[in-house]
Amino acid sequence: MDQVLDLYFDFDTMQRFFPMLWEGFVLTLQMTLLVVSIGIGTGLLLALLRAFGVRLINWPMQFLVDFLRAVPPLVVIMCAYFALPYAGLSLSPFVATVASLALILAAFAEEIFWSGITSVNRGQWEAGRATGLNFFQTLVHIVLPQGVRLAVPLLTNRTIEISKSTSLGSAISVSEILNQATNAQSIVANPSPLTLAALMYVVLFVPLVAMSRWVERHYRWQH
Amino acid sequence: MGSFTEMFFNLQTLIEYWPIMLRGLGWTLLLAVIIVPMGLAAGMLIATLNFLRRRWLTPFLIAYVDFFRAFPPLVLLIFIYNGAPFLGVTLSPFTAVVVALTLNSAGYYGEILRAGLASIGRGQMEAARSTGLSRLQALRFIIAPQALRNVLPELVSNTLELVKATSLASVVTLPELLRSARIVQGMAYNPTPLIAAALIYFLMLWPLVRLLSRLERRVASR
Amino acid sequence: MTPILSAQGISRHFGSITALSPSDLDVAPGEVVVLIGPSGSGKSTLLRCLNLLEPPDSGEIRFRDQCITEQGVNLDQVRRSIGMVFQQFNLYPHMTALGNVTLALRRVHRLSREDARTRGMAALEEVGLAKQHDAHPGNLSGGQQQRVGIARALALDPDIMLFDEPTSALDPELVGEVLSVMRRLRDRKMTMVIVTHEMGFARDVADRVVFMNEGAIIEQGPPETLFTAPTQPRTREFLSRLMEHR
Repeated sequence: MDQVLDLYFDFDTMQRFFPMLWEGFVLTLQMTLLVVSIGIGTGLLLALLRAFGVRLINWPMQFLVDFLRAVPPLVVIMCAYFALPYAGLSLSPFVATVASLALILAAFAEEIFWSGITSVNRGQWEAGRATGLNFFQTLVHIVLPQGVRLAVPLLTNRTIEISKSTSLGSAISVSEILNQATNAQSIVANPSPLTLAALMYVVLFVPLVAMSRWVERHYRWQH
Repeated sequence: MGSFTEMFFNLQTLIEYWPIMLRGLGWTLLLAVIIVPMGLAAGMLIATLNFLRRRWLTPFLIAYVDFFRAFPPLVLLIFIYNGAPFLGVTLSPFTAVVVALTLNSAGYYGEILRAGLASIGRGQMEAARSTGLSRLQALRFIIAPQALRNVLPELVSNTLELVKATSLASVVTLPELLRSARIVQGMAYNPTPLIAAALIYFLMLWPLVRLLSRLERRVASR
Repeated sequence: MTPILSAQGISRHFGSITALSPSDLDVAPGEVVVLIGPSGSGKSTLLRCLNLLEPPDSGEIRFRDQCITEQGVNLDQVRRSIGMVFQQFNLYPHMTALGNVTLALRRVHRLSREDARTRGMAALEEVGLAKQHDAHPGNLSGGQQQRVGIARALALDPDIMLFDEPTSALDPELVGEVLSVMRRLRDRKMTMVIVTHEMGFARDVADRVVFMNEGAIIEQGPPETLFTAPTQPRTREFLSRLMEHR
């Protein structure tokens, strides 16, 4: 047992490689913030756009959303990184990863916001229109706030999932936590950097998971 | 347009290399068929243990679930695959993937099923017990069937994510669909195989995505 | 007197079902018209056609001097002057009572925050809920919620108010508070069209009672005539069945 601890929790190694992994940590954090803000913002805009019910827009949008929900994120990243250059568009690994994940989050967020919007009682629309608010005012002031509120628990979970996927960037050599850790591990032939990486992910995401539990319990109407 | 098609949907490439792609799809399906039931069974175990309310157990179950919700599956996979040899055990990529994804999905399935069981009112249990059923019988015949129906969308969604997650196996050199596509891409010098892989995933999982949308909307309108 | 609201030959279909056969209804200023009839008789449909929440399939509706069923009419503008109270209240759960009342004042009438607040509080005062202005709908009783619903319509200073079964979703002991608010509105000479199952109330407040059955207006008249000496057999049948259930 001691041997195992020595192997996986070799503090000297961890200390030695901490700066390297810290760089990765910062990069992971940056990617996460970018993906979340771009993804959720775009998703909300798309859901609003969909509310107008223009078939010429909604039909292709639905198709794209379905596509991004069905295809594994790693496949999307690989396509963005390895296939787009053939079309004359070369993305850096960082941009390819962030763009892919933001797009995927936008697709999920659009679905979640949209199902939030559609599950708001029809009476709310009627009440808004009956007091003279127009379609857009009713949507923005009455229906959307309630729809967003319904969407929050699902959205937090999905956001955490996709933020975790920033680790997929390591597959195209974005030097985020996981990539730094595997590099370090191959230099010293010791798994401790991987343990350190694991700890970093836990530090980054456990608070988010705990928060999502809280959100799930408290983000309800006071009935 | 012609050259675009030639580049991104190059039939020549597909015709030449389809056996490799097909074998890749085979691996992907095999992984899914093995991991989904294992994850589901482990999740049921977690939810049942939780349901029995052994007070000392609950914190461990919550810790397990939260840990895996916070821990990227790819990191887990690499940790297991690269880390095990240091213990003197060399795992095949296949074993590593199955272990990692089962551990990971057990947490998710467990949490979903727990929430499902918690959604059923206490009256159901009381009614069942009053007719002489044991706690486990009540769980099996009364609570669980209703709970499953309540969380069906989440179960479908998690299964969808799990099937997609088998693509992580490509990182540890298991030649499933994505890795096969990458291999063929390297041989044919065009991106058609990658596009084809994406389309295969899409065609395979689209019905599930549509089903999911419908289920979610039905739940929302309740 | 020229009617303030006049519907001529309006009808409404849902698929192959006729919810409302072509019907006429005139409402004079200050008049209280009560629509009664069995459920599914088209009273709510008729009411909801009046402010075009359900656009009628045929016919014409004139409000004041304007035909509002024509193409190109700004309905949002028209609806400011037609208040509506719903069976299920339809309060906005994410806003306080005052927030519910002031939203349209702010966004439609473009009042400043203070002016909207003053008018909103006055409306809440009128329904006896000024104290609860900070409560969310979830923390109010059904009767209080419906009074907020009335205040929300009232705050816009409408020329006419439509009530769609305002007490049907309430527990019996909460019906009274809502009806008494409506009685006060009548005393203020508010023009009202009310769909209700409260016959005692109808008899008290109505200037005219309209009986509907199977999507058509069967008979109408002052309450004392219609309730005591109905001319149509279906009206008699409906009323006598109501008496039995007492």
